[in-house]
Amino acid sequence: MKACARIERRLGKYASGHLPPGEREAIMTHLRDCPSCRAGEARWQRLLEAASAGKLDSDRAMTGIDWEGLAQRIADEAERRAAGRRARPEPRPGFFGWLFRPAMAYLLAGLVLGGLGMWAVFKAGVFNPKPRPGFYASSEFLDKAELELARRETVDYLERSQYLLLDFSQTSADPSGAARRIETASGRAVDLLARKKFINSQLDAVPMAKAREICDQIEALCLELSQLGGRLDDAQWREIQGRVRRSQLLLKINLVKKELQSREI
Amino acid sequence: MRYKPYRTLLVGWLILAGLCLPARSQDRPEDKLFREAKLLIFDAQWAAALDKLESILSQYPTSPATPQVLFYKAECLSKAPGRAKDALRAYQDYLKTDDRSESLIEQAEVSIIDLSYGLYASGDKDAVKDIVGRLANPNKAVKYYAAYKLSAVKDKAVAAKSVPVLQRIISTETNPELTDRARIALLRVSPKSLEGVERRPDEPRTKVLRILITGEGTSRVDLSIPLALADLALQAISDSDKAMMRRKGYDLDRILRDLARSGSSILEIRGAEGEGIIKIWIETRK
Repeated sequence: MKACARIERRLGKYASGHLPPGEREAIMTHLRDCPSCRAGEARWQRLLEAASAGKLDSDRAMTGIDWEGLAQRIADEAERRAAGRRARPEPRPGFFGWLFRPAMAYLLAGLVLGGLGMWAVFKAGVFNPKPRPGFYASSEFLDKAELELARRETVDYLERSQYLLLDFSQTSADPSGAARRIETASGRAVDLLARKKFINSQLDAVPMAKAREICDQIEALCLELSQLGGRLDDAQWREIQGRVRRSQLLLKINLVKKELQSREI
Repeated sequence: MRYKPYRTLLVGWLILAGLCLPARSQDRPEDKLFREAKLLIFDAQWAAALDKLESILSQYPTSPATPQVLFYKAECLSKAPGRAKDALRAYQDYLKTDDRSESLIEQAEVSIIDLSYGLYASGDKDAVKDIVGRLANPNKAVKYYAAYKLSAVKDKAVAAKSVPVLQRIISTETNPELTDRARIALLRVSPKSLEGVERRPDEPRTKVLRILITGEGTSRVDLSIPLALADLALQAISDSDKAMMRRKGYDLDRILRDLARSGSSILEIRGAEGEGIIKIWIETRK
């Protein structure tokens, strides 16, 4: 077997006639007894015949070539390419070579998609909303604005009520001037009743809950006072004054007023 | 002449008795009950007050105090849960009486508006008619109140009926509380109607307050409102934003002062990292 492997390696040279006579005869002897190596030798012969047929064609082609002109053209082209390479250094094949081409493609695709996304976002005006014409405000904001307005009106209402009650508590039942002062108080009570209407809706909101009870008590007093005109007898006067004292209305008004005022910016 | 104290005392007592007797003699039995009922109302004891008022109406049906008793009965019913319709009827009964007082009529009309709004909000669509009807009330306070209340109705087509009255409030009233309320109501119902009424003949340009509050990339507040509502708007921004403004040394007065000084340029208040950016400026529009 070993002999066959050695012979097989030499068959190319044997078929082309490039072996010394002694070696050539030894191979001939082996080929007579070994059909496998003989088949190998036959393949080499066919190959060499095909090659010699191609050589005939190439010989025919070679005769038509202007060898001197071709040599000049090759030299010129080589010089031109060498000059181009000096001007533009060839990229490093390691980084931009075939290994990184998919990564580069993905990166490019990512950039394109990202760019399109950003364009869509900016166009929608998320970061930089376009000024819209006319007035506009969210309903949440309007609710808050109404609550703020009610807070201010409640402070004002409590303040006016405080003055009315202080004035009333200092009014004696004696006939001189009392009727006029009570009439004034009655007029002011009517004004307070009108103011209370506008804060009623907001008094149910959480920040105003403490003011609700007091404002309702003031309203009940104002309703009574508004009906008196200048008529108030001693018993009525004492009864209303007692009611204001007993309920500590003036103290409560002060406390709630302070709390509502402290909500300012 | 010798001073006689017993004589002074006697004269004083006679004067006092003279003052008190006519009043006491006018005190009818139902008056005492009525005073007790009012006391209960003052203490928010609505059910007990209602009992007392009903007993006055049944025992003294022809009393001169009947109209007032009817009014207070309606007040008590309006506070009782689930009795809104009874309260409405009681107020209407009061309005039909002959001896009515102006202040109680106004109070009753306003209470009817409130009760109707509550009924409408809980699904009784017909109740809104009582509010719409009062838009033409001769009493200005009742008419205005009906318009404010109607503007808060969810059905925009119904709410739009309040627009003419609200516009009229802005163009004719001088009380800022009334006009600011009307502006807020119009912003809710029809901002376009507000634009028309804000443009005065002597001032063809409208000053608009713009507030933009952004934080973490999203717009949280974006406002475009009449400058007249500036202080209200600044007060209505969230507590956290107000706290940030205070930390940066801004209070309401300073913001308004800076805005007035800077004219149309933007006042920008930047919070710490993670907080928002508040931009406030004034635009002048034709």
